[in-house]
Amino acid sequence: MPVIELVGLRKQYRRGATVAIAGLDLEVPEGGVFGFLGPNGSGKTTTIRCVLGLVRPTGGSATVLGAAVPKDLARVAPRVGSIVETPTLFPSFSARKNLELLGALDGIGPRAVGAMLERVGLAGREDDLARTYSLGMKQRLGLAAALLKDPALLILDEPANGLDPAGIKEFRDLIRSLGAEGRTVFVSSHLLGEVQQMCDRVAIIARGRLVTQGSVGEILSLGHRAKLLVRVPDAGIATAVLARAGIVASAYDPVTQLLYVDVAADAGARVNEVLVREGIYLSEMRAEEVDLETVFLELTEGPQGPEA
Amino acid sequence: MRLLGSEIRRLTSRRLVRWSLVVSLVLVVVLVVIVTAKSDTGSFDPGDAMRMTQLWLTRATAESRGLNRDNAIATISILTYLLVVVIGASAVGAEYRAGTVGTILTWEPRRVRLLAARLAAAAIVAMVFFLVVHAAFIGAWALGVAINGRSGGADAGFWRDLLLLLGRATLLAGALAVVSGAVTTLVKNTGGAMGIWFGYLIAVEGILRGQVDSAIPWFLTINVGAFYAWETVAQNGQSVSAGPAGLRVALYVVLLGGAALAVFQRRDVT
Repeated sequence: MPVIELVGLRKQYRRGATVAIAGLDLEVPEGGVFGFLGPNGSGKTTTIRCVLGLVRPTGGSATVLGAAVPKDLARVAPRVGSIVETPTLFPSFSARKNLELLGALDGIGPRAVGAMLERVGLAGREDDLARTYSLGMKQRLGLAAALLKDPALLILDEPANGLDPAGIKEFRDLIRSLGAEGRTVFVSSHLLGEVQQMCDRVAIIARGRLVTQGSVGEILSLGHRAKLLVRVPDAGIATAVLARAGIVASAYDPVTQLLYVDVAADAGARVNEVLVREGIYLSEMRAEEVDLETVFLELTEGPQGPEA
Repeated sequence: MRLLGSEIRRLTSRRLVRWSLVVSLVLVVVLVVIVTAKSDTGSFDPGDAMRMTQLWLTRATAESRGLNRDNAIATISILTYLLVVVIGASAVGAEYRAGTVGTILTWEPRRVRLLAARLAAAAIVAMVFFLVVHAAFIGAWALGVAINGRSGGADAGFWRDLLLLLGRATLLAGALAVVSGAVTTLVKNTGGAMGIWFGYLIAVEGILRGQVDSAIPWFLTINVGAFYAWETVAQNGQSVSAGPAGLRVALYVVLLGGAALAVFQRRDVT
């Protein structure tokens, strides 16, 4: 059973008739880290708010841990932790006080609060007012609040906002460890490199619709076919030589001095043979790396993308 | 009960509530000094003792009764009601200002239950607040009596009247806190709610009072006053008796509380 299941989810705001979500279908399987990607304004945060019962959908349906949202959400709320955008807690209360007040709603005591503050690295600052915290510390406090319920499902909207590089790595490790514990972590982020490193599966949305979803490997395979990059003394001659052998070199980057040859990486031996036979020796040959950012931009700037 | 307890803890942890209590107790001290000076306890005789009780508390004679009469407890009540209105508004408004509404809803998604608990917490805190301030005031009066050895007019009937007055007045404090919290739920802002309160008092009651006499029995202040004093209050030929006044206040609580619950239930939290 999917942990989150959205069927034709739609949200249209009355003022201006803005369509934030335009019939979104999504299935988030149980366990692991699920990345939720989309350009700004694509409907990620609105989707998360719908899933958490904060925003009322105007169409379609959403279920979380098998409970219909918002009708039966209360039944599963104790098993769902979340951060939506910037964590919002009372600025004039200490971190400890904030967590104790939230914990009291589910009968969670001060001991668990102390342990959680320790886990997110706020031990020693727990009695400082939340308003004195940096953005990164507020993110940690928000994560502590989300984890306090010991949730089966953790929904994190841009959790790395405001974190420094060390904090981002720490956060990434923490999220991966949470996913490895058997929890489901649903994380939206614009840090695509981070998503690629920490997520098992990814969904990409644009304009409130699902563009694609699958494992990170499957998503990467949707990008353009990786080219072979070769460095040669004269790109013009090499291009002509390859063309005579029926191999297309489609582009040349004068900055890196790399020729983009339109063949798969396993055709490297043939390219090398053709060029060497004509006395052209390669100083470098490697496969082009296609990352999630590249695929994301290709998919979201296409016909379904924001500029369409 | 867990939710209600959490809401009460959240509200009483706020500096506004704590400072309001401090300010109220300081006001009590100031009022005690003023009233003591007026009662001229330096030359105390049975007549002064009567005057002291009359000035401080609700009544030694029938003429001194009522919210708008010249006795210090009514003054303390009015000041406390103003603070209670602010506390009720802040119980809801602070959540919107801090943006914690969404955070708490992810813990307790049953919105009607959450807001009902919050308004109930505001009412309970307001009533306790009211009682503490008035207990301090009555305690100061008792101290004055102990020092001067007189409690003119404070017979069994006086104490019964005083207890009944405090009971009604405390209920009113709870009602005003709920109304204030409900109004704030509708406008999502403490400042906006205060603006509505003052706008209502000035624009609605102030202007209509001289123009549409038939509206007077529906004014909140006149109903609060009649119920507080438990007597019929007349203005511009319109009279409001105590029992119906209490029912009208209860009606306002139900109507505004119900509107707040209905709006909060359907509102998108963004």
